[in-house]
Amino acid sequence: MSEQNWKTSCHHMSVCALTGASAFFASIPGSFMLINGPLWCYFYAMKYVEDYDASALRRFHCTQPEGNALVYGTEKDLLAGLDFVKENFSPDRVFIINNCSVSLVGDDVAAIAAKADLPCPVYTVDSGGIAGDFPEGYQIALLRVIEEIKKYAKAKTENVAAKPSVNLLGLTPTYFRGEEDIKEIRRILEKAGYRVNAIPGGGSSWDEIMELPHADLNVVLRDELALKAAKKLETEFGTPYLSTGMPYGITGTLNWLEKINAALPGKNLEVVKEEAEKVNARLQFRSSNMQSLWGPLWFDNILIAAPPSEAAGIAEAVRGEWADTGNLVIHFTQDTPLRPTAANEICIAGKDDGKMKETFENWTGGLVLGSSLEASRLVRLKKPFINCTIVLPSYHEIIATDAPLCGIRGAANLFEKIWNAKLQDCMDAVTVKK
Amino acid sequence: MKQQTEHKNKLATKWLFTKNRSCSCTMPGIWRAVSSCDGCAVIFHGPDGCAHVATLMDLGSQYRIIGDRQNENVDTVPLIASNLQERDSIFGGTDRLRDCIAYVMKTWKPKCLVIASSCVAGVIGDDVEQEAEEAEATYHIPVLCIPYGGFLGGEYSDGYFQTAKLIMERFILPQPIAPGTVLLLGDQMGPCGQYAREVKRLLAGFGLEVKWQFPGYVPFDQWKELSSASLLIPLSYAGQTQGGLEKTAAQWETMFGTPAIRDVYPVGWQNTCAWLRKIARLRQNEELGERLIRQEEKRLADFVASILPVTKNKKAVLGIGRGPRWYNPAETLNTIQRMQMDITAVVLFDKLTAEEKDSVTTAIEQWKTSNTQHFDFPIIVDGNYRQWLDEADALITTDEIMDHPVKQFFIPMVPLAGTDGEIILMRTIYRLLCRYGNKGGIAYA
Repeated sequence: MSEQNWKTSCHHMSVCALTGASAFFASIPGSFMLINGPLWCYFYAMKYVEDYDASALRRFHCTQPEGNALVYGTEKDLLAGLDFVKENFSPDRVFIINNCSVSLVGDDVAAIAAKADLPCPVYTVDSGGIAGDFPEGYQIALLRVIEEIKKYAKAKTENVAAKPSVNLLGLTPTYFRGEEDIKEIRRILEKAGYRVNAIPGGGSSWDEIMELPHADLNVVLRDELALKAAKKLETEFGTPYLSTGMPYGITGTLNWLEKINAALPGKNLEVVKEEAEKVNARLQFRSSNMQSLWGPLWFDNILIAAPPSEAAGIAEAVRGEWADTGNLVIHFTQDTPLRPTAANEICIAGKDDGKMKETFENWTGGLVLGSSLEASRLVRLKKPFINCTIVLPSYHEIIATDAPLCGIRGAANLFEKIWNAKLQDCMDAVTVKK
Repeated sequence: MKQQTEHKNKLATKWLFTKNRSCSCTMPGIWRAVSSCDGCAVIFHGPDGCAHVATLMDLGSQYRIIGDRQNENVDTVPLIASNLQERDSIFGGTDRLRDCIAYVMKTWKPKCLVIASSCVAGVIGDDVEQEAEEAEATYHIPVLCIPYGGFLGGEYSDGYFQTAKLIMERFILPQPIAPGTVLLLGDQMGPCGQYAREVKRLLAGFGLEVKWQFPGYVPFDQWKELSSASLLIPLSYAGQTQGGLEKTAAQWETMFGTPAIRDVYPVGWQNTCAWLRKIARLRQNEELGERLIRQEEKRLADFVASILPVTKNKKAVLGIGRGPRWYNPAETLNTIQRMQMDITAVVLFDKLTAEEKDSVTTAIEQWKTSNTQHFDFPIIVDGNYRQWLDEADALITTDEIMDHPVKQFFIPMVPLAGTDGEIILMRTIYRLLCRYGNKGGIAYA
């Protein structure tokens, strides 16, 4: 048998590259996404994005090609789709995203789009499931936009007042509390004296994204979403990059900031440190008070199931700063070289599915930090667990406040969530009669 | 980005697509047909994303059941994608499928393997059936192959019923009949869903016990016993899936001689009565049937009496954007009439095709003429219905309307069955009408 990754979907959750590319393009204001593919694929991509961006449903449409189109081409369907856009909307730009089967047809999509004569630019990509999962689709979209930057990039000018400036790569609102995390990261960096030049995929406008080459440093927060793009930007424009991961926990956030500071000194780190110390003192005080009443924040087991940046960062923060356990297991939902020392056991989706299965089947209770998928598994196996959602899909937790998961505000939020989950569990044990 | 239709004084439904073409995929249907059949494993010969979509569907269904305070206790079987990638489009993906089968056999040790092919496999032209045959010879377990090529081979229901057919033809053997046992045929959110729960409750009145729900919820080891059921109850409603379900039920009757109730379904009060009478005749106890109907009718009447002070004479607009393949407006109109609400207009949304609009219009006119009460409400097809919404107390709708403050009730996609189903519908509309102020959003049953 060849070396393959077989991911058992009940142990691992992602969505396909169509969604990843759609999420990236949808984050750019004024953009319209035309999915060149069947309604089924379109609907899932659109719905996934729409759950976190209500405006998306008014900015998505699909061509719905029939089976014959996969033999004779999708021109007729594509032109009809573009006509629909022209008739009903006035976007700043249209992104045509081919799904997997349509991408095999070999249509000259750009030429077909030109025939439609839209009054705005039209950009095309192939980003179906055969390209991979969400991260691959996001990367395809980001790299596609970088192609446009190459065409229009202005000469880099020295602007001392704007220094030090950074681009934030690998952020998206289509992650759990993604929009809130983007705001928190931006807040911390700006407080530390950095100018945030652009956040492609994280809400920056088209014009801001076209200014990407003008930053001093590209900070890569999620390698799986943006490392390739950072390398491309370094090659094309000479901008150095730094892979930092996401900042979780108070100590984790300060370490993350120090790392950026070492590569590109900030003007005002002390202010952030002061804030961090103040929040940390509050958390420690509250924790001590609660422990005097409820005992230590101990869990027999902790399972963290998430993409690499989230899982590694949260593992260190949870075990290093707040809770105790004898057994911390990580299920990385994508392959990664990360091996956080806080973990007793690490499983990677597609490589260790047998071990992941055992995690669920042998689960004896404890804290689960993951998505609704892990909760679903344990509910069905009738295993006891205390749950905090940290990644999508999130069916059993509503996101209504602007509290992030990362950074200093995120540390307080996650600390509060974990404590409250433990307290609710204690209360349920004596009040819920089944 | 402004939607130009606003300038035409038209309101838009939340989602813009029409369903006049292929709108689903066979693979999730195939998955759902065995998803909780312990002993099986399913391979999607396609990209990982296809399996993720099926898992997301399953998750949504599970949490919907949990939201209904039901203790969902059926686990799903392994679902693995062969993870077709771009390079497979050049060299073919059958090697990858073979490797995936080997992995699944080693890791999950299924007693039966089900393989569904994606549109990518269809375009590449992989011979999935050949691989399935070889796998069966190699691993000495049954391998069911449904090489429909994702959306190319049909809709969700095509995949679902083809899988059921293959199971019936291959595994189910004639058995001695176990009196009083019932086999449910179809899904409707599974054994914990409202439909199956209500059918079980109503059948219990006849002393009948539901033993299985097929396909999808019977362990592989029990497949062969399914024909011992004394009665087959298809769980259907209307439209697209009904054809496949009735065909499957008819085939079951022919193969195993099990009587099936397959021309009337307990959705809507009138249909529920007809369904109960049919079962009573089959049980040769029509008196019991009438007694049960009277009991149920009293429950319904008591409930209606409790809500009439709020619902009577309230203005209702019925909004329809779901084609006749999926939706029959008659039951909804009956429910609105039962609540003594005043139907002021029926709106056909732009997402319906001209043909669908004609068909829905005919169904509504037929309902009007068959009704003892006289109705003269208009059927609006040109998209200019804002004034009707402005004056309505509630919009009873298949599609959420954006940018209008009218209180909206969403007509469920999965039908609600029996007396309980009717009460749930009316209770939700009643609560909507009780709403103080306007909180926005749409009410779901």
